[in-house]
Amino acid sequence: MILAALLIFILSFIAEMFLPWWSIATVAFAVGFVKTATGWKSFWAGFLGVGFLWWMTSGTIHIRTNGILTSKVGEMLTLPLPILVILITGLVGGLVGGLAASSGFHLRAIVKK
Amino acid sequence: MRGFKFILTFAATLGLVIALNTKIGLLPPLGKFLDPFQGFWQNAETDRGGETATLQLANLKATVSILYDDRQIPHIFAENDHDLYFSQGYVTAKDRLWQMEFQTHAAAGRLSEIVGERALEYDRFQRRIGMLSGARNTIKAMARDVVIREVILAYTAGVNTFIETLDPRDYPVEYKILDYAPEPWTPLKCALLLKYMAWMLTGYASDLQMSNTLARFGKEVVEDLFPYYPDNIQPVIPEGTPWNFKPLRVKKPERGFVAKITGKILPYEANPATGSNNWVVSGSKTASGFPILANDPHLEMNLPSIWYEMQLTSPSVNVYGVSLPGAPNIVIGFNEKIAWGVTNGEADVMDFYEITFKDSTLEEYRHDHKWRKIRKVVEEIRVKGAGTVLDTVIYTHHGPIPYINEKPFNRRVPVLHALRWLGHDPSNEARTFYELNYAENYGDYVEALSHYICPAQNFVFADANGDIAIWHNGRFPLRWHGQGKFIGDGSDPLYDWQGWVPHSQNPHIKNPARGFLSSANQNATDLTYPYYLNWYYAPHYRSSRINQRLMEMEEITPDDFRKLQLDTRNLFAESVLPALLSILNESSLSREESGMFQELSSWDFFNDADKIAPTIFKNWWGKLYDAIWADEFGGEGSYFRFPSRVRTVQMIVEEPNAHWFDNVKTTDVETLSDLALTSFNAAYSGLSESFGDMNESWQWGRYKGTDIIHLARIPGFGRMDLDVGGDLRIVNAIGKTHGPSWRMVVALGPEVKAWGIYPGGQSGNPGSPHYDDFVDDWVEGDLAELLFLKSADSEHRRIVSKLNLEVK
Repeated sequence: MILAALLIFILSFIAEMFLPWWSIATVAFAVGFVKTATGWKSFWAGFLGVGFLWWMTSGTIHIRTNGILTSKVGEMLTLPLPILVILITGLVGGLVGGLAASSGFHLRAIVKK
Repeated sequence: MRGFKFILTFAATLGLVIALNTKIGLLPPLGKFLDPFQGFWQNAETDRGGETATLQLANLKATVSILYDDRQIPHIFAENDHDLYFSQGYVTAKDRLWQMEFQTHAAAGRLSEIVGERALEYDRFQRRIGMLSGARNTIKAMARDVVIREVILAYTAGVNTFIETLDPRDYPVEYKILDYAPEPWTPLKCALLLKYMAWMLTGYASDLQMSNTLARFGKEVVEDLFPYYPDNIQPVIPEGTPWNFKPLRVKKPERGFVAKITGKILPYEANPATGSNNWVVSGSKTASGFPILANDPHLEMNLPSIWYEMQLTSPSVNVYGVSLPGAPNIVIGFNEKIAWGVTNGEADVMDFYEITFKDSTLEEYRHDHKWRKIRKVVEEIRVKGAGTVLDTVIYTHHGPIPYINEKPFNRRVPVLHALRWLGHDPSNEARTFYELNYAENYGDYVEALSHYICPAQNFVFADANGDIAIWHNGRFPLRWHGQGKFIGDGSDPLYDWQGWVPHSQNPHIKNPARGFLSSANQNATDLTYPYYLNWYYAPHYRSSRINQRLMEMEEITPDDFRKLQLDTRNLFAESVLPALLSILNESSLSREESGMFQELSSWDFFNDADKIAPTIFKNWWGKLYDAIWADEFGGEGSYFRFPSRVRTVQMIVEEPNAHWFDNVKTTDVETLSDLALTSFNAAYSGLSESFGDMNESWQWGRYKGTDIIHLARIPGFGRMDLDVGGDLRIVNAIGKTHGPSWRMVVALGPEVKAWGIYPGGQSGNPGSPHYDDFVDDWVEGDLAELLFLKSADSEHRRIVSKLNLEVK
């Protein structure tokens, strides 16, 4: 699972250089198809792979720019704390990655049968 | 089973991706928006600086070097004028693209394309007042001017060259929030922006309310309460200035026309918060012996700011000042020889006409004893997520009929109102600003002004030769006295505009004996001026205070003008408060109210941020004014104009027994003294209910809490609750949302020097430190020394970064 998560992390990073944001779903789906053992494990691989990528990237930007936009967007989304913007960013990415990866796993389960 | 799990998870994934890629309600498409690689995170910036960038661009003729100073002001050095305006478009778009497009979409009535149905009524309104057709007329006039055509085309090419470099991840954050993409810039958008300004400054008329007031109260009351020339005014062109010309004749209709009382058509109310100050003194009054000029236009303060500061240099021009993002040239500024500034002229260039139709098909209307055909224009309004809405607008020769849902009084003869607005006419204001940028003396300035049409402004001027001047300048319709104060007779040609005041006869004055000139939106002239321009202008409070100070001041330095811009003396309070305090029955006040009374009695009439008296006074006045007038002029279903503040003050001071003070809705007879007391009680209750008994939160700056809101009202993107003094009708005219949108002081001389600030920042990006970095200094009342470079001196200590544009 760790390996799959790492793969999703790296491949999503590369995909996002060239493709729209939903390319993370394609990447997680593919890795889930090829590289995971169970439905739940594939979910966590996708969740952690994309989630960490989005957390780390948004967190780095947040720190590098002194949170200049984090607080404004937090207020726009009526969140009580700016830090929640980063949390939600990772959660959203993670959820998409997790669902896509487990979907990939379940497809392989059919194909193998 | 396994197939089921796949279908379930696959459907969930797909559904989630689609949901997160879609804008739902006011929320941005969350997946797209939060994506740290392409969403809003990419808009977060650190301080720029220390960098030299080089870009290769098509459409350039030679290399352009752009130096950014420590305030992020671009100083453009181009080798020819084409490249200059190309670069102006390019750098403006680089900092302000979203704003440029949003404002012109707003002007054109195209906001529904961005935000969907909730902007439909707004868009319909914009189409119905003829904004788009006015802009189309204007772009034709600009295209006929070979110089301006090239300027506009170069600017447009610069903006589009910038847009082409953008990848979706680089889009300004507002595009990501509202989920749309920039479209190509066009010359029409430059025209739309100028019409947007014209609407902001001349798009109001009280013809309807005045007609209703006349019908309800009669001529005598109207003449008494709504006079042509107010008390205490010091006009822009000083009283007694001779008019050395032979005026054109205007034919007046013999019979007076009284329009029918009508329901609410449209609230074309002037916003009292829109105004400006400017003034100039000749060398006889300054320490340097050369003129000094100051200007502060009061507009709605937004982020991004309406102004973008820059220096434009080519072999033929070197000019510095503020520009409007979306239009070429500098609008307010200076060059090596001259300086100029503007305040709104407030001339009436918008009239309503009662139109009598032949029948309910609305195909023909009466004019000059004949039936004339109307013209129909079908406006297509594209609505995001809801297709295209068609709206038919009816045009008479006067102009469009903005509102046809109005209930006709007689079904067989429907009466509607047509709108005549100068903004509908072709115009070429860009020519004026272009020529001002290049002007070297008074003659050049007057020539530049001769091209100007709308919105009329008081153009204040000074040059290095020592000349000072002011022109009340624009195109003024030739009208008989009082024409346009009330709804006009749309069938009588004598109610049409009969031509124009010749430019040379516009009110103006050069080098007055008193050594200074000023304007603050007050009456342009005294009653000896042979043409009728308007009956209602801004009250005299700001202009009187400015003139009072300029009269006293000698050996003036630029910093004295900075202080005058910050002056918070409340002449309005000074004119009425002593009278009110003297009639207030002190013995019937509670202990808390006596405290308020004391606060007012010891007030020095300065609206400083830390004082409590301005808050008490404002609340008291508001309640008192309502108590005086609402019984006659207010109420459900009425649509009358309330008498002005100046007239009310005059009545309180000079006619304390006027019958207007009685509340006609009660059987008792109320006196001014009764109203003063009850409104004082009400002011106390209101304030204490909101903020508790008198305490620090009553302090004027905190109470007023000035807000600089985001242009699209996005929460979190503005600067709210600024603790700052001043108010409307005060020289330092900082209200709740409007105020000095640019403060500038220019000292002419062998070496021109200038200072300025605006409440915003150069970058339009909310994720940039330069989005709002001028705001704190603006609140403090500081001005920045403006860096006016003579050559592309990239080694100057204040230059922090450089952008080279090279020919591709």
